[in-house]
Amino acid sequence: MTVRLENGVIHLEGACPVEDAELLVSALDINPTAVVDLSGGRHLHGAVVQVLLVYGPNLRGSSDEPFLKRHLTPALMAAAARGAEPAKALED
Amino acid sequence: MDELLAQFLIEGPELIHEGGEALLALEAHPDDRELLDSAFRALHTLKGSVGLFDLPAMARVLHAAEDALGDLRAGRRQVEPALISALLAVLAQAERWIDTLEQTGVLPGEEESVVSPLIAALSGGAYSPKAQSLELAADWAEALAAQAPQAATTLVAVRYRPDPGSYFSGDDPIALAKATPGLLHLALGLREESAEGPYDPFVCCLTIDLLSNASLEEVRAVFRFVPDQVEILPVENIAAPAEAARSDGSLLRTLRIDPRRVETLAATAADLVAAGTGISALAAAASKGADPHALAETLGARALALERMVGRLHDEVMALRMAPIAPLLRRYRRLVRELAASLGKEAELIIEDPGLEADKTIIEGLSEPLTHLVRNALDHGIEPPLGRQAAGKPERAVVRLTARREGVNLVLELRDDGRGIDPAVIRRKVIDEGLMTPDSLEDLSDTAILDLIFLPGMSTADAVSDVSGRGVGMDAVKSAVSRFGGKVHLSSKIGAGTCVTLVLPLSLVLTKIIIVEAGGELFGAPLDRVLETLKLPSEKVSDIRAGRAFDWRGQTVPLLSLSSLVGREDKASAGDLRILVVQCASQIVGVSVDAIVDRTDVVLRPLTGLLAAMPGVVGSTVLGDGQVLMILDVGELVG
Repeated sequence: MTVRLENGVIHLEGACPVEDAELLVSALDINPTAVVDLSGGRHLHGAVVQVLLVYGPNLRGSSDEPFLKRHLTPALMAAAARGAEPAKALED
Repeated sequence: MDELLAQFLIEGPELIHEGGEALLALEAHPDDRELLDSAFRALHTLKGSVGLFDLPAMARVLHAAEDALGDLRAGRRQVEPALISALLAVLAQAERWIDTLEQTGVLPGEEESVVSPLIAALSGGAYSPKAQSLELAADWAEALAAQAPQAATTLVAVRYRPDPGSYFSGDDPIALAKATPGLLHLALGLREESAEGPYDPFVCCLTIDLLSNASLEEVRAVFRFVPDQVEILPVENIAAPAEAARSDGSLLRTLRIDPRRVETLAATAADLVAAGTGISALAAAASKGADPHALAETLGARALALERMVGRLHDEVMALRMAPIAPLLRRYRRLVRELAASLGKEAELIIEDPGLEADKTIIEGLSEPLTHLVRNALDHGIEPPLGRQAAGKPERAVVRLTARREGVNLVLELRDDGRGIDPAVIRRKVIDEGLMTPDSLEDLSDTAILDLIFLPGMSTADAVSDVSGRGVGMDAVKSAVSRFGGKVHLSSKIGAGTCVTLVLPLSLVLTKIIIVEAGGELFGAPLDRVLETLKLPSEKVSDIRAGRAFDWRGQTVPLLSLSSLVGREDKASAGDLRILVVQCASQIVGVSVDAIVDRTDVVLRPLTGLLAAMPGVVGSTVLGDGQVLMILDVGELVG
């Protein structure tokens, strides 16, 4: 299992495939205030990333995986900082 | 100079060479898809880089050339000599423009006039040029470039809007972003429509913007399956700090180094760190009163290992300066083809290079003299096809550029099968130009006469041509080669051809020296000048008038004292003399020293500043114990 809910924290672990998007959506629906922990992730499918952008849960932890650590996590944080609004700044 | 432009001035010529190389090979193998692709890649990249600057003419003509290659790839046109020539002409023009840019920073403004004929030649007459607009970076790409976290040079901006059905069709947009080489910056967002209606996690509404410092091609390759969902543009990095303008217009000299060599260096450095730790451990053991015998043994072993590592490090650092000479030689293939075409001759360049490497400075310095020589061969050496026919030679001339290694020397030989040089013509020319008198020429052999071609002001051409200059040539070659301590030699046979041989050191870095003591000080002398070191009983030295001389292998050799040559007091020496037998320009001289201390390889540093003008000193080096050693030019001291 790559989406694991434990003590109000949703852990994304290993390589999260496209199907995990649905699991993550239900986990966040059940537990809207849950924090999502990324530290165990190796890869997040686009659909999973999209859920994080749409729901905007608080994120914590950072994976050792270079792409996640250097690019994906900062980009998610930056998007969260811009608010739940669609990222208009980078649209036309 | 703008950092981006500086990068372009380095990469541009490389791409031109790459493209030219591929085109020439393509002409011989018209069906080789790989060659075509490689030519296309080079031109395409070049065009992309040109698009970063305000060079509309160059961009237009490269665009047309790229289109022509595109037609070849699509099978709309066939590989034919006229088209290859037109493409090579474009590359040659681009090279000239880049040269001008490098020297002056701007193009003279007459470019448009040369562009139309080039484009017409590419189209073979039947081609109507499309209206070509340069790909200019859009605002979004500029904004993205401002996010670049570091001073990158050429950036590629990507705006990726995956299709809503992406997830269903098995795409993972994040995986594509992850696969982008040279990723510098990633920005994520959502499409606007995603805010409405019940949320479906399997409808893709991601937006991805990213910046990469990889090449346009590499980035395009990643997104090749989603071309309709992505915009990829080259963009100028406006966040990059502007390189301090260099007033002399000179470029920062860059060394391109094989990454593997850097890795070996890093590995050796790591070994050294480990060795250092080992020594600390020994020091700790020693302070705790370890058995001195065992300690000495371990210390000896570690010292030996350390010595080996330092030796390896030294070799590796030296290797960094070495580069293959193949790229230098290859560029003449195109020159020969172009020159032959412009002179109405047929010639082929055959390159023979066993994969030699030489010091980068030497390779750079050879480019100009070799160009001179190739031009001379084509212009003066090789006869027009009719003349060759009459002489019973094949119409297609063969110019052979051979590289080989002889000891520590690199030998380059340029041999043509042309008409050769007639010593009588040189003899006449030397007299006509007033360079020498008829009397002084009388006793010279034909070989010696041929050497006169290296006199300043000599040219064997009957008429001044566009191709080779006006009597500057061989003397320039000679001075360029002797700058590196090289030699040039010419041999020729009337009717059979000419061969010019350049002999150069492979490496400028290490000089073998002999360390001697004179007047209480240490001096070095280049070992290549020292024929022999002698121990000579003082009674074997005879006084001849004011000087002294001794017998060396049957010849009488003058003996000088190094102490007095360097302005030190000459200690009257009884007993045996230590003598260096030295080859000076034209004679052999014995130089007595107080002691011969060592023979070693050193890194010779030329003297700079005020010291540069000091006569008799070729440079300095730092010895292992930190002492600075002057390296003497004994020949100059004696003279």
